[in-house]
Amino acid sequence: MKQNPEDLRTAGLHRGAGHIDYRETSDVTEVHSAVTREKAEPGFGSVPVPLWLMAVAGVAIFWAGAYLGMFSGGFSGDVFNELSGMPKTQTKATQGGAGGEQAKGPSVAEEGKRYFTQNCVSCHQATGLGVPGQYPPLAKSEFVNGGSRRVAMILLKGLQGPVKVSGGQFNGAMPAWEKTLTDKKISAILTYIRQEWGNKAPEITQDQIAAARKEFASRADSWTEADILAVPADANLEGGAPAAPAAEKK
Amino acid sequence: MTTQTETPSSSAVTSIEVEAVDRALIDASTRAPVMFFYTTALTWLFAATVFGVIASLKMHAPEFLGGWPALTYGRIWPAFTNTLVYGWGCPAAIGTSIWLMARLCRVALRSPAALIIGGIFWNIGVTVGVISILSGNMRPFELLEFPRSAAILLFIAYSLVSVWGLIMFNKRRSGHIYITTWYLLGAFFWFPWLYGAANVMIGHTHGAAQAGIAAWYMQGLLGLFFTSVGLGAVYYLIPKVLGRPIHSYYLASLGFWTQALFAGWTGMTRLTGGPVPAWMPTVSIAATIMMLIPLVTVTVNHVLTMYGRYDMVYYSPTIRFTIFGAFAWSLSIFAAIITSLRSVDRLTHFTQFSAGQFQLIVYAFFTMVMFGSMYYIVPRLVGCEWLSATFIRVHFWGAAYGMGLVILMLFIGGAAQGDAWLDPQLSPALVIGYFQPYMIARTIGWLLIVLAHLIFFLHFLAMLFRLGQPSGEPTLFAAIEEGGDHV
Repeated sequence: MKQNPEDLRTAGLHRGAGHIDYRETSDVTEVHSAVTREKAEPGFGSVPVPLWLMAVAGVAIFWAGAYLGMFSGGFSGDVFNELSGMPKTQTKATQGGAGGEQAKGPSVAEEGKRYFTQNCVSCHQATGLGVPGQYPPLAKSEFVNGGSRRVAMILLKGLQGPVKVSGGQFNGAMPAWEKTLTDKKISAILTYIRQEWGNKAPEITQDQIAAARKEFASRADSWTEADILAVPADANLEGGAPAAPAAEKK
Repeated sequence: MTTQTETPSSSAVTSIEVEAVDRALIDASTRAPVMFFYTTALTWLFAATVFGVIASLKMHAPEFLGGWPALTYGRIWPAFTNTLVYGWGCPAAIGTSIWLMARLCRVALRSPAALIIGGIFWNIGVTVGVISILSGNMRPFELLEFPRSAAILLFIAYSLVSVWGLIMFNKRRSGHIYITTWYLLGAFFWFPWLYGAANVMIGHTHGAAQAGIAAWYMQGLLGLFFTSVGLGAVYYLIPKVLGRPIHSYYLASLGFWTQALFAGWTGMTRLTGGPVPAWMPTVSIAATIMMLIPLVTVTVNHVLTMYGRYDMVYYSPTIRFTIFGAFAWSLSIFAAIITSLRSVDRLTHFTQFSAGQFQLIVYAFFTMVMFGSMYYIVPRLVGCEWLSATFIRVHFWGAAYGMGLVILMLFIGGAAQGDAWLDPQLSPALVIGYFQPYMIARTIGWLLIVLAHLIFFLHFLAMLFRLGQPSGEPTLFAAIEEGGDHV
């Protein structure tokens, strides 16, 4: 291709000599010697993607997929610990099994333990011993081990102000859980804490909690110690399991 | 090697010469905006260097300049990162993008005014933002600390540049679209998308969601925007200076698309162990693992393009800086993959290790590639050659050793810090004391960087005022026997 570059040169400079910069002459090629000594614009070689690179891609896909499968927490919005299995898949597996396999699903106490870990453990601790002077213990607590009425009241509405538990004096605020937790979760948690750490109180059913929720619906504030003590220690919620034998109480 | 320097004296000229004249005209048309962006970028880089030194000193001598509220660590560190990213990084990226776009589209730039107006808006935005940060008026999200007013200015300014880039691409002269153009086009879209979406969404969400958005933005900015411009420049400069093609078109293409596909997903690795559902970090970790594909592909492509010509780092400043940056990128992705895994993250998260990773990408990779680009581009715009090879040498070794030391200290120190934090027996005061020697070494690294930047800044000013060597021979580290261009 032969072509006279004169057009190009004038094209760049036709705006007039006034546009010529300091130290610049009208000969473009002379000024831009850096440009003229340049090598051609880069192009591409066309070496195909090597096979071993496909293998690397395969490894990456396998590794990433395995990681995703192991630690996805079932893609659930309320699973924050990547090691805590996949609840949805578990349930499906149970349902998919032969009839009568229901017992293999998590028991009420197991479920209670999970909800307890999610909601209560930061104050009352995994040991159920609480924090001396700050959060009351649940293990061997007279409120937890007594009738089901007192403990359900506390969990639903919360407890405000000074309270004496297992001989220790506390002054804090137990939050009300009625708005956060369902009847099922509350009953599971209560059953768990009443049967763990050496506690031996009977379980509390979902229906009992539902009834209690209705009964106390008009109460807006948290209870105080006086409110709780006004209820007999062995009073139970209506319906459900029979009262615990006196011998089992502390 | 063809010797293109000798011009035939006949009136009929070769197509090679026509092409060269053509290129010279295109280069000349980009002069004003590119030099404007470069000059402001380097001014901000100097400010960032000063902030960086102060921030580094504060880690082991908090009483230093202790009487100035504006210079407390809580303000000086975000001032440093924001100045580095928005003051230096983005304008340098824009300057290089403009020049590369004009060249690769083979169209002379028609209206530089829009770009310069964009540049002015941008710099006003950064000034407002940095002053706000120093006066304590900032938003609590990493790299989104600028107040809304500054953010709007930055968004408008970059949008002007983006629109200009797309117009340029539309008017390109026919021919194949080179890999660098892909990366630059990606960058033109990605920055407004990331910055706009992050700023709008962070104002309409609360709590953990905001942290998630900020993490997504930061990783996107590094992994999509800076990586695109940086790798785009590498893909142009290495084959251009060597005078040989990129090793493989298919590898380049695979590297580009996998990067584009996975990099945007990697953000939540910054929240591992935080108050977000477990699947979010897990998805990001899986995406980070997938970054193995662009890592290997791009690295292999660079290595094989350079194959047999590594001696060029002894001669060409451009190649030396660019190759350093290219391998720093590979290292940064490798480090990102390893530290994203929960077992390693447990050690490195919430330590200075993350600061090291940030500087590995923004400085060791991106900034070094930008230096390489400037060594190539600036002589073509101002019409004279770099003044002194010694200056360039000091700049390189100061920057390479300085930042190398800084990053190494942050990595080792960060891991040691993480190890100590995991031991509940140790008190925080003890852990911080344990970490001191690394921080002092880091400040020494910063002093080397100050020297390098000072030299480069003066060198650049000399070029700006055309005090360089007269046009003709390139400024190389050592003379090359064969002909051709190696700057």
